[in-house]
Amino acid sequence: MLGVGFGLALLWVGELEGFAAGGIFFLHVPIALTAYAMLGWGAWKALRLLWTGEERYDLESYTAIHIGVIFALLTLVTGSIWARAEWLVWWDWRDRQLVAFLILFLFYSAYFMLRYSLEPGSGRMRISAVYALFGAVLIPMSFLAVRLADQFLHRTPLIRRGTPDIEGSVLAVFGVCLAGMLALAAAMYAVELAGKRLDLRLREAHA
Amino acid sequence: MSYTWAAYLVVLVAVVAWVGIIALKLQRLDRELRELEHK
Repeated sequence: MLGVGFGLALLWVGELEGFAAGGIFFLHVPIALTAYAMLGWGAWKALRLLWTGEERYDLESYTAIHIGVIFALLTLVTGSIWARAEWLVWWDWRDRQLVAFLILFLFYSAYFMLRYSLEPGSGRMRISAVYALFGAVLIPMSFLAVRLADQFLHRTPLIRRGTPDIEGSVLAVFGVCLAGMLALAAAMYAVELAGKRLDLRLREAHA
Repeated sequence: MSYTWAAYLVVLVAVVAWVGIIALKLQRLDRELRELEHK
């Protein structure tokens, strides 16, 4: 699905009108939305852990955040490449969305430092879950803050005063790319989670 | 190379790297599982 989406994006739509290197739109925006989705999923699993106390949610939350951080890093890298083409700079500290997303990325990167600085057990599970839930506050803040504030550099062609700013066919191709990216993240989540569960069982068997 | 292709290449490299790391990890787990079965 992702291959079809990118194929349509690059060969049929080409570069998005009014943007330098507009083809990155079909890559950067789906990756960013997938990062939000995976970090949000991780926070939801953390909430489920605190709510029910079931240990399996700890591994699910950790895996979702891991995949989310990978996608967040790719968002920053692809965004930086796009910024170089569009604004002639790799990064601009004055732009709120860039800084908000960087804070989100750093916050969830620190999740791993916190997790591995604690002894495995129920205490680590709960502290990690609370931290992941705190981070969830940053997700809507990062997503909405700039849309509500005045535009500076970072443009939002999908949502401008409530209506999409791009053609229907382009929006359809974008939808395929987004669905493909979400499917890729879901597949990565499932594979990584299966691996981590197997690893955990083997460690328990060895112990 | 255009900036667009550079961005797609970066993501492709990242996904391939992730697949490689996971494949190595699953291979290790499979080996450990076999060793455990033999004991």
